[in-house]
Amino acid sequence: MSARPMIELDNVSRLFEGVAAVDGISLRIDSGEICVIVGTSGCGKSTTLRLLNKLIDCSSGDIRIDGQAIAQLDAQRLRRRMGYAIQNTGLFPHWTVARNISVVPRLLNWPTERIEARVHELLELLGLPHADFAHKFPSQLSGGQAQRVGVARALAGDPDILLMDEPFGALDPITRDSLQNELLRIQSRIHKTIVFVTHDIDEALKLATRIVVMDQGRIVQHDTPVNLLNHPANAFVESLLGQGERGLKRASLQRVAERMLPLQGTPPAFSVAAQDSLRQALSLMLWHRVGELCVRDNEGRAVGLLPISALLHGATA
Amino acid sequence: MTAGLSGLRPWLAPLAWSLLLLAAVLGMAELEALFRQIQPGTGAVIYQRDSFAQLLLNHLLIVGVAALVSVSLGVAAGILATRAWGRDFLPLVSQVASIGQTFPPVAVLALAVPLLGFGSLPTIVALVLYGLLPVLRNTLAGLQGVPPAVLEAAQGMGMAPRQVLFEVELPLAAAVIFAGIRTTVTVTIATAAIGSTIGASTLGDPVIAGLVNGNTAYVLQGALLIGLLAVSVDSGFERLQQLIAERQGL
Repeated sequence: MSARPMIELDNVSRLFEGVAAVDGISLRIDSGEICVIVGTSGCGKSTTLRLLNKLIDCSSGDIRIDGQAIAQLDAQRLRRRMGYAIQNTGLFPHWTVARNISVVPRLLNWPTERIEARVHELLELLGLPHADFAHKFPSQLSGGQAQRVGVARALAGDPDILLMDEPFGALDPITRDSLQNELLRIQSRIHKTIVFVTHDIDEALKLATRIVVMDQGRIVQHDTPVNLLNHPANAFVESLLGQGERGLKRASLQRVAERMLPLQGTPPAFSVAAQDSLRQALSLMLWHRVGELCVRDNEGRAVGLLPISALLHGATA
Repeated sequence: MTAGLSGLRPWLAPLAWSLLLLAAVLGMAELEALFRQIQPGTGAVIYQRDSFAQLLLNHLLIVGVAALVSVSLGVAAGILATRAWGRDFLPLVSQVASIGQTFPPVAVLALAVPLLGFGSLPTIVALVLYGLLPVLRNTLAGLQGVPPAVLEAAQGMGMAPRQVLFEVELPLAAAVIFAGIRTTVTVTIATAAIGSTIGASTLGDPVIAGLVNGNTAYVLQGALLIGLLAVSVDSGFERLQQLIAERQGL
């Protein structure tokens, strides 16, 4: 599926006053991946992200972007090739939404018509109608809207790589959830290479194609969400995953469609959507006190049966 | 017509004060009867040695030069001390400016005369030192008040340091810096009068002459004009500050 490495870190360290914030990490992120770096605060995840766009320089080791060693690249040009979204949005308060989004295209000297078209396209992509939002100032936006603009701004220069440093960390849970879904929807259309930093393991499990768990400046584990849940490398990863919740977390990664059985006889009274997660299905069973659910597709047709036993057996790898 | 008038309306206060100043400069002699009440006797009650218009012009010139220098120095030093490579100077710059403000201007004048002689030059030097602090302090505060996330975003987007300064930092700090400029200019207008003690020609002349000769009318005339000038300029600056705030959509 993923072919060439877009980002390679080779034995990279960064010292701050003699203390290693990032300690000899090697990492390969393929093109089109959403690589989520997760860990507790101070584990070096944000430092790692900033090493990628040279906001911080490596003390030792090599970083290659698309095959080029970034040590040889001009920092400003490199950054214009990478989208950058951060926790507090960092929107320029004295500029309108449209002007904020057009920062990188302007730096890249795009012609005016192309910039305008791009701003238009991105606002629509993020569900912010151009007529309503283009001329607003950041102070007039809600937290969720501001972060959407932040993401639009990061995408504006059409970069291959998107760096996101806890972009949804300051949002309320409902807004965060909808922006996570939005990011997945957008990614399914644009296929960028995304490096996403968070301290929230649920966010990591939801978004990542692969997760990098960091602790004290080192990579503890680099694996897919399912493998991480099934085979945590050590006690730290286990505690990060939350012992008692692992079963539910794994269930939330799997779709009902993967486990449903052929429909026989009259369908059960309560239904679940084929796209829903097993976790949602289990929750419905607990709520309605039933042992089986009817599975329905997007059009509402009954397409299968999900007995509680199907949650317990089946391919868990 | 009405649109033109309503556009003028915000400028009403500075305009009114300036007109009042102009009237006082040109028509001080008309108030002779009033000043006679304050200063009875046979002597002159209206200051005559120079015309008030000439004194106002000299005063403005000295203030203009001094304010220009202290604003340029203050803003430049504030920018320098907040750059990554100039941050080591930050404590030094703040201290020097604070010390400049704690020196009484009269003391600076006394020290400047042996070096620079009498006249306008030592006055300007003293005013520059004295006016440096407000603009410098506000430049530092304004630039340091730019949210760190905004700076990180600007850098992360790939803006050059020059672009970050001129397109992001200075516009965001403009209102605060401007408030500092306003204070500096107002303080300079008021303080310039003491230049008259060392031979600079300012609106302080009537005040000094009045103090020396025991002529309260002279003192009042000088003080009135200095006050009106300070208020005129200050209300003009207030209006400009509103314009800056409006332009930023705040």
